[in-house]
Formats: sequence, structure tokens, C-alpha cells
Amino acid sequence: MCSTPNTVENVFCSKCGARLVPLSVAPTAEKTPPPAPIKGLSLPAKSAEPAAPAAKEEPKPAPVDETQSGDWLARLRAITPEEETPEQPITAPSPEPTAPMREPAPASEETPTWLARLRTAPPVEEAAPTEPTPPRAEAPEIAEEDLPDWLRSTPAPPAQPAAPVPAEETPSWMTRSRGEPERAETASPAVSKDEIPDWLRDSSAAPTTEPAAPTVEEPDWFKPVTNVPQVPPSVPATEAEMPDWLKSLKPKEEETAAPVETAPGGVVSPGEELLESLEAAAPTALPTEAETLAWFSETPRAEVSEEEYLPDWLRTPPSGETSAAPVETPAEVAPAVEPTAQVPEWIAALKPVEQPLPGAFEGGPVETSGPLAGLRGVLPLATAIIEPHAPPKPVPPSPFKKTAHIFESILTAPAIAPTVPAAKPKRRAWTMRPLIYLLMVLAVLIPFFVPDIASSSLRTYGTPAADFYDAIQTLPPNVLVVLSFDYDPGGAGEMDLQASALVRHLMQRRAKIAAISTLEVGPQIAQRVLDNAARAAGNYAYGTNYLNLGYVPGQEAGLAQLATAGFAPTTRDFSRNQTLDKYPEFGNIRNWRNVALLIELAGSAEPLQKWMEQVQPRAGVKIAAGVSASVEPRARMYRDARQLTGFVSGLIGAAQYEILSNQRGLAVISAGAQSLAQLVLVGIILLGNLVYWVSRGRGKAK
Amino acid sequence: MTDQIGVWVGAILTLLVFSYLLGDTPLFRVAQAIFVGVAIGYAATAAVYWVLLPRLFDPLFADPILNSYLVIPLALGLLLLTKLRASWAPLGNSSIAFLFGVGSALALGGALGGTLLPQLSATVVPLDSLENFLLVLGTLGALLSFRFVQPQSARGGTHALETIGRGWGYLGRWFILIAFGAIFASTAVSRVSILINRAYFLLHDWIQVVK
Repeated sequence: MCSTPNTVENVFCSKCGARLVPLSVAPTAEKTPPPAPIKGLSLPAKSAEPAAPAAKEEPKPAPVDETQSGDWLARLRAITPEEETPEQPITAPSPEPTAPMREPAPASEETPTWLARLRTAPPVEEAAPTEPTPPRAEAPEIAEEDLPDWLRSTPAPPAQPAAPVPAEETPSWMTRSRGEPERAETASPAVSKDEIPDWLRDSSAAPTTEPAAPTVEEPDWFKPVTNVPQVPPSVPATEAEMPDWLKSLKPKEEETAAPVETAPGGVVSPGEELLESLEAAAPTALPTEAETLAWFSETPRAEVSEEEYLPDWLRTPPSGETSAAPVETPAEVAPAVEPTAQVPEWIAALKPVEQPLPGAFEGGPVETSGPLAGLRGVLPLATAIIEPHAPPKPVPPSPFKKTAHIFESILTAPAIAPTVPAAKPKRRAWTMRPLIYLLMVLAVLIPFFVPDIASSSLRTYGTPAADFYDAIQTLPPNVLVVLSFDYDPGGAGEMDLQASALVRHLMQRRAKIAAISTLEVGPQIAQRVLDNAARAAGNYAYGTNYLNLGYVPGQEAGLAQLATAGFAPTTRDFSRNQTLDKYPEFGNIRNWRNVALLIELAGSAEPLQKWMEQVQPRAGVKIAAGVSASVEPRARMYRDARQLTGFVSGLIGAAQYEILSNQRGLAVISAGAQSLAQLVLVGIILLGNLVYWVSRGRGKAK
Repeated sequence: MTDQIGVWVGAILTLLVFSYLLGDTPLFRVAQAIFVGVAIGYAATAAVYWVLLPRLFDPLFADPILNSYLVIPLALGLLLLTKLRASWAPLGNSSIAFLFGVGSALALGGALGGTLLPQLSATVVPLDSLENFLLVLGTLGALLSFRFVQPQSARGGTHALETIGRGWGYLGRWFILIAFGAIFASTAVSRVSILINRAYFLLHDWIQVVK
């Protein structure tokens, strides 16, 4: 076997496929209820012996000398771990009738002859589990002469039906584990206090305060074991059969049989029960020698594995209970083992040294040091390591392995100082940028010195600017016109020309101008443009002919409110900070019906869109726009939908409007520079694409 | 004198911005920082003097009972200040929610009634001229070019319609490209206009070589 830990349910090893369940499993498992799940050893999932739970109700066998069962621990290894459930059978009474007779544990220190014969007997056939199994009571077929003396002398207890263990018959150690109050009389109802030896009386009086173990310091690995709930000694030992070390532990000599008498009514201790189940299983479930070697070798590994593999009674000991159980077991197991310096004698005796099955651990290494010195195969991990393993799978060759020698040769090559060439002066890559800058500067500056270079070619008829001009030209005098200056100083270079041209034309038409803005910087720009235009007009006064109402906050919400409610009377102007009531000439501005035209001067698309979406559908006012050239596509869209009366776009639009209104000025001069600069841009783009295609053709040719 | 100082400051800042032609120089960064700082400072001052005082505090202090409804915008505005501290920031969520809710509702309603429906109605024109024909052709083609799904099994007449729609959408993509080119060209023209204005300012107001 490969010593791989397997789950309890596994019949075959998950790694090597070896059979974990011996073929000589007692077929009686089919007739018995499934055993309670046991956590722990990865031994064969052999069904629990049915007699084990029933054995609790069986009458107590005759007292057995403790020393005569010295090999019980060795035989304990021969049984499956499923049978090592000391508490479960006690707490859960078996519904089945009690198996009548059960063999008590052999009393001799050596293996009894009947057991030896069974070991040498041929293994049970595999078909055995399918056959009906005789009752457990009939299973042992042992001649009377094979029985030990002590067993022969003991009268067979009568068969009793299974019955729950009465609470009165529960031993004290078990009631404590259940958390019930301890009753002194239940521990040994048939024994009077006079019959109890003094040392046992003392220990029963204060079991939690006076540990019976020697005071020698215990090693850490063994501390959990010492906390095992102690079971009262089930087998009395005679003075003569008791080992010396046990005699030395006893404070007095006359008490050994008291624990046996504590359970006369069928209440058995876990150790007894384990022993009984062992004996019951021996005739039918005892594996052959070969099988025993396979699964038995895993037992030590399971014992030294994690704590969870320990049985419950060993894993969770009742606190404060350190009784004399360790005193009982070492005497049976290994009285001849010499304890080490740190380990007390009675603990060292617990070592599973004596191996009744010869050759069971032949495959394992021999421990040479520590408490397990002299044992073989107790550490299956080491065995697993030593065992030959399957050859590793061939690793596919790495694609970089072939070229790895190149890298290796580079690494092993002697270092050569790199020859640094003389640093050449950095040569800046030549680009077209300076030439483009120069051309643009010339295209912008020349028209200022030669004004008539391009202005005469502007077309005004049929343009949106002409529609805008017509809209203003048709306004009656003294009508109210609202101008919204929605551009910032960054766009003032383009938008100021439009605004100045429009304001001058409005002043020519004697319109009352009210300026607002949806930008914080707009009122300042509006004030400057209006003041310059009024100064040029000469007869336009602030508050009378034009008014700056400042900033309209709120974006869409502010415009929507303005479109629905108009200007509030408390609205203050930008220049004098007076309310609208102080300007009676603009009192009719509260209603949009009195506004003849709304002119939106937008440096970007967002203000124009807000006005068109929030004000125009709600107020129904006629709107015209002067926009930046970048907003012209959006303004043209609204104009095509008849939402805009007209618009002026960019510098060219301002020049067109100046020409239409017969007030040539800076816009017309700038339009010449604009046209020339656009021609230069077109030439540069064409030249750049030509050079690109030529160079690409040369690259392909090469 | 004041105008001359303004002209000189404007001229120097204009030259600092032009230094960007030589690269991202510190001079350009100085001009940029000044522009941003002045703009923000001016906007903050404008908000206090043209919004908070005349529209909130003055009416509230003048007649608190009559203008008690102004407490609501005052509270919402104060809650916005909690956004300055992370642990208090959730308190200002109601103000932000109010702003976003009102803004979104107005924007959606305005876009529907101010742009989408008028533009759709403007597309329904008689095809009696080349301009109208191109208008309908380009509008529908642009819409078809944004159709990214196609039927799994087209047969018969459906296949023919699918082919026509795909070709029309391909044509509409060219209309979109032309529109993008027009927008880019108009933006370039706009920036050239600003350059011309700055050149005229330097030549006329600062150097005064142009009359």
C-alpha cells in the first residue's frame, strides 16, 4: 500500500488502488444498522461490528485479571477503528436483543491459541459477505480448552434482552462526561464503602484534584493523552499478576477489583466494551496475516495524524479529570519498555512496542530516537517518502531552450568596454513649422497694410447676414430689442466685430437696446460694446436708450424662468445697480410680447442651443443670432428650420453686415486678412499632402 | 494713462501666449495661470454681487416673512458646502440631486421641443429642388449609417431593402464626414479670426503702425 490517507468510505486506495477493506470482513454488517459515522482513521470502511453496540447491554463478564490482558492494546490494533467508539454504544442503547455470549478477553499475556489458529487460518472468501451471517452469539466457535483459564472458570452470563442502561447504573465517570451531577452510589452500587480500598476512595472522593499519574513532567505531545477521561479499571488484577511498576503506584495493596464491581448490571466501561468487541470480532473479522499487514500498517499513522482523527472521548477530555486510567493501560501494553529520561515510566509504557503480528511493520524504517525508538513503520509519511514513486511526467521542451545557449554565451563572454563614439552636436530635426508660421504671419499682416486686397470680393446677397440685416431694417423705431452677450474675452476678437456692427445698426434704427448675458463675464463685454457704440452714435444715453441688465444665472433654469415670467421688477442693471422700476423706458420688458427681436451673440454652441430650446418655444419671440464661425453649422441648422430669423457668422459675417449697413470698418479690413489666411491654409494643406504622397511613393520604390 | 497700461498689459500677455509657438514655455504657463485665475476670481465676484446679494440676502434681510421661501435655496446652498469635507459630503447630495434633476428635466424637455421636433419637421420638405433633395437624402443617409444591426435571414424583397439601406447608409456616412469637415474648417476660421484680432491689436493699439 502507498500509505496515502483515504476517507473512511473508501474501499480501495484512491492513489494506488490497493484494497483497503480486508476480504474477511464479517458479513454480519448487513444485518446490523449502519454504525455512527466515525471521524478518524483512514482505515478500511468495514462496517462496524454489530455486536459492539449490543455488547453494552450484555452482562458483565467475569472479572479478568488486568495483567492477563496485557496484549489487549496489541489486539486493539487488529480491530478496525469503527469499533473504537466507546461512548456511542453506551449513550444509544441498541434496539436489538443482546447477543448472548461473548468471549471475554484472553487473560494471558500472549496471544491465545485459538486466536493464533485463526490468524493462520485461510482468509474468508470474498463471497462471504453475501451469505447470511449467523448471529453474533454463534460466531465464536472456540473449544473450551482454548479458552483461558479465567474464562473457563467464569460462568456464562445469561442472555438478556437489550435494554437501555439505567441511569443508576451509569458510572460516575460517564455521568460527569454527560454533565450530570455525579451520584456516588451509581459508581459502584454493589460495593460498599468498606470494600473500596482507601486509595480508591480517596481518588473517587476527589477525582479532579488528585491525579493518579506520576508527577513526572509530561512531554507536550502526550498531554492530550493524559487528559483522556478515565475509566475505572474494568478488570481486577491480582497482586501476583500485577507488574512491579503498577504496584509501586498503588498507595496501598489491597485494592484492585473495585472498579470491576462498579458495573455489575451490565454497564461497561469503554475499555471493556472495546475489548469485548475485539473478542467478538476475532473469529469472523480477524484478517489474515497478509491483509493485516496492509491495513494495519496505517494504524500508527492515523494515530499520529491530526487531532481530528482521534476518537471523541480522547479528543475532548473532561476538564480536570486525570484518573488512574494511564495506570491501567501501560501495564498491559509494554511493561518491559524502558522509559526515557523525560518520559515517565507509565507513559513510556504506552508505546506500542510489542507487536504481536510479526512482520507487520517490516516495510517501515526503524525509529532510533525519541519515545518511538525501536518501532518500525510508525511514521508512515517516512515510508511514503522512501517508497518508489511514479516517474515524473516528461516536461515538454521549452521553445527557448534551443536559443538559451546564445544568452549563455553572451553571459560568459568577456566584458568589452564599449567604444563610445564622439558625441556629435545635436541636430534639430527640420520641420515645416517655422515656414507655416511665417506664411501665416504674412497672410495676416499684409491686408492691414493693403486694405483692398480681398474685401471687395465679399458677397452679401442671399446670405444669412442679409436676412439678419433685413430683420433689423424692418424694425419700427423705439421697439425693444434684447441682446444677449454670451461670449467670453477669448472669443471677443471675433465676436466684438459682429456686436459692434449690429449695435450700430440698431442705434441707426433708434431701437431701445437691453443687454443681458448668461455668462458672468458677458455683462462687462456688453457694457463696453454698448458704450463704444453709443459714444459713436452720439445721441444714445444709458438708461434711456440702452440698458445693461447684467447676468442671468441658472443656465437652462434661469432662461426657462426668464421665458415664462419675464424680467422681474427687482432686476438690477449692471452699471448703476438700480432696479428695473427706476427705468420707465424699459418697463415693458417684463413681457416678451413687447420684445421685437432677440439677438443671441454666441461664442459657442451651448448658449445658442439653450436659447433655442428654453426661450424660443416658450416665449415665441423672434430670434436672430450672431455666432462664431465654429458655431455656424449649428446656427445654419436652426435657420433652415425657420427657428432663426437670420444669423451672422464669424468675421466674414461681420464684414458682410458692415457692407450691408454701409458702415465699413475693421471687420471689412479683417475679412481681407481672413481670406488671405484661409488661402494660405489651403495651400499649406495641399502642399503637405503632396509631400506626403511623394515621400510615400519613394519609400515604396525603395 | 490707464488705457496705456491696459494696452501694455494686454500686449505683454498676448506675446506670452504667442510664446507657445516655441513650445510649452514657462511664459505661456504664466499667461495661462493669470487668465484662469482672473476668470475664476471674476466669476466668483460676479456670483456674490449679482446673484447672492441681490437675489437672496437682500430680499431675505429686507422682509424675512414675505421672502421666507428663500430659506429653502439658502439651505440647499449651505448643504453644498458640506461637499468640502468627505465625511459631511452626503449631506449635500440632496442639493446636487435637485440641481441635476431640474437641469436634466429642462435639458431633455428643451431638446425635444426646441431641437428634435423642429428639425424633424424641417426635414419634411417637398423634393422640388436639389437643395431639398440633398437635405432629405443626407438626413436619412446619416440616420441609416448609424444602423448597426441587420436581419439574420434576408430573402426576397427584404434582401433588396437591406441592400438599399446599407448603400444609403454608406452615402450618409459621407454626408457626416462632410459635416465634420465643415465644422473643423469653421473652427479653424474662427481661430484665424482671433489671430487677426490680436495682430490688429498689436499693430494698431500697441505699436500703432496701422491706422
